[in-house]
Amino acid sequence: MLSVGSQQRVTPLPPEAALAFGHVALAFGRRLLELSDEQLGRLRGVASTDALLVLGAGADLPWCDGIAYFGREPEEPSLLLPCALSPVLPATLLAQALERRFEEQGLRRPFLISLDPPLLLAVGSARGLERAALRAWLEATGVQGAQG
Amino acid sequence: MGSDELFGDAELAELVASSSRVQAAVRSAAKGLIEREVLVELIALAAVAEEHVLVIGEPGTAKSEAVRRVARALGGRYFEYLLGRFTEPSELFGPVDLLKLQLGKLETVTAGMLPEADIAFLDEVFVGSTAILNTLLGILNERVFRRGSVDVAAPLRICVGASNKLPDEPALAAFADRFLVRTFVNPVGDSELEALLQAGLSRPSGGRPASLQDLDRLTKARAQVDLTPVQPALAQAIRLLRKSGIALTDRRIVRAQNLVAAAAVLSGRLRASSRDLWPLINAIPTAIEQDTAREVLRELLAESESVLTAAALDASASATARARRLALSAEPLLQAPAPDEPPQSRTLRIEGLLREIDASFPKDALPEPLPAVRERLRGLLAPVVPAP
Repeated sequence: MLSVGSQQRVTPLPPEAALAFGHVALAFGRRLLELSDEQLGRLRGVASTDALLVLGAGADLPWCDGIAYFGREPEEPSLLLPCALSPVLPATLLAQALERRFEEQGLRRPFLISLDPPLLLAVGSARGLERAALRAWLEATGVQGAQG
Repeated sequence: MGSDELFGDAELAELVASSSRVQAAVRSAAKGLIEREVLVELIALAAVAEEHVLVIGEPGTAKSEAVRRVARALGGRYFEYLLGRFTEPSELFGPVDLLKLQLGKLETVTAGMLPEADIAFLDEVFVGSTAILNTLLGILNERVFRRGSVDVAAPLRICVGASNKLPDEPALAAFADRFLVRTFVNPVGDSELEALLQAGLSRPSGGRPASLQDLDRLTKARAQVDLTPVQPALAQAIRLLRKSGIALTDRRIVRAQNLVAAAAVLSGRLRASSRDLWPLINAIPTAIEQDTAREVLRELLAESESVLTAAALDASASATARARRLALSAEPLLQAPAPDEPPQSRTLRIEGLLREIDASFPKDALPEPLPAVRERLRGLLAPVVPAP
């Protein structure tokens, strides 16, 4: 586990990704189903059993209470970092360390670093959001009567 | 050949490591001090820039404690003195060497005194006699101690001077101009009094996160930072300040670049950018002028970013300005909706503002009045799924 200290950014990054866990991820998934096909088509995502990550332009990312927003580090665009926090270590060093770590596992950039909770994600394999897949994910995580 | 190419990989790695250790030293020094993070960070910035700091504030506002902690965290020889009207030069620079005097030479025994200090704090710095100030000028300007037949290099990295107020007399103003970085401290505010009382009973943490070697490495790198990308912006900033009636001496204008370069190198950059312009505010002589400059230069400083977060936030006032702007943006949304506005459009506008609020600040650090604004905006949205 990579332990990286953080500090508040003076100038926040423009959001390009939204990450949610647990019940917030469920709310996020339902909110996404309320978007039009055109809006959904502009987003990409990856999901696990209890987390949902969506990538896209800031104005296209919906809001739910509890979502964490991430943006691209200007000095190292392969990194998605919290919009309001920056790691204490220089971004370039972090990117190099992650590249080496994930390359061996065949995982591709960009890399998302969540500082709270601490989490590393390689999101190069994110795919376009599809309504049916989103509905299936919501049902698999136990939500009754997903709308859409 | 760019700045990055002046350093091989190993040197760059050492530079980054030194920067990390100095950052750790700053955090360690600031821990337990209430509302003094800006001062501690400015001391570190000035040390890397090879400039000095003038702190203006009432007695008992932890000025000397802040400097002492930075000195402890960085190591090196520390000298501190409270000047008075009758302070003799020997109390700062050392006594005359009587043995040498008998041989007809005027030399000073400087062991343990200011000429041999790496970090110095001089309280009531403008109160000293002309003899003291003249000798100090040499140490501050050139890092040379001159007295009688003595002319030796002084290892001083940084001198922090403190005073209740800025001097009025022109002769003292010239001496004050040697302290490039200016910061103004007030007694701790009402909202932090409990924290002050608790911190007052705790002892500072020990340990030395960094060393003077780290500082020297950063200082050497600072001298090689490429400033050409920001010189047009700096010149524009000076013009804007002059238009607002804020005149900086030519010395101050030129040396402010050292602060910009120091900000860059501490943040791991060898090429300065618009993110590193914020220390310009601290090169402005008075508190009122600094406040004016924050407004006048707001757009120029909008991209400020630094590992010295408290100092950069204070200089650019960007967090406060951003919070104010977001609260103003919320006002129309918190009114009753226009009859012809589609509900979906209003929902998107509310979500957009909430997204910007949540992306702009850490969740536990929303500045006023945003917590209440956020809560009211959240209440306007229909819940998607009730929270468990």
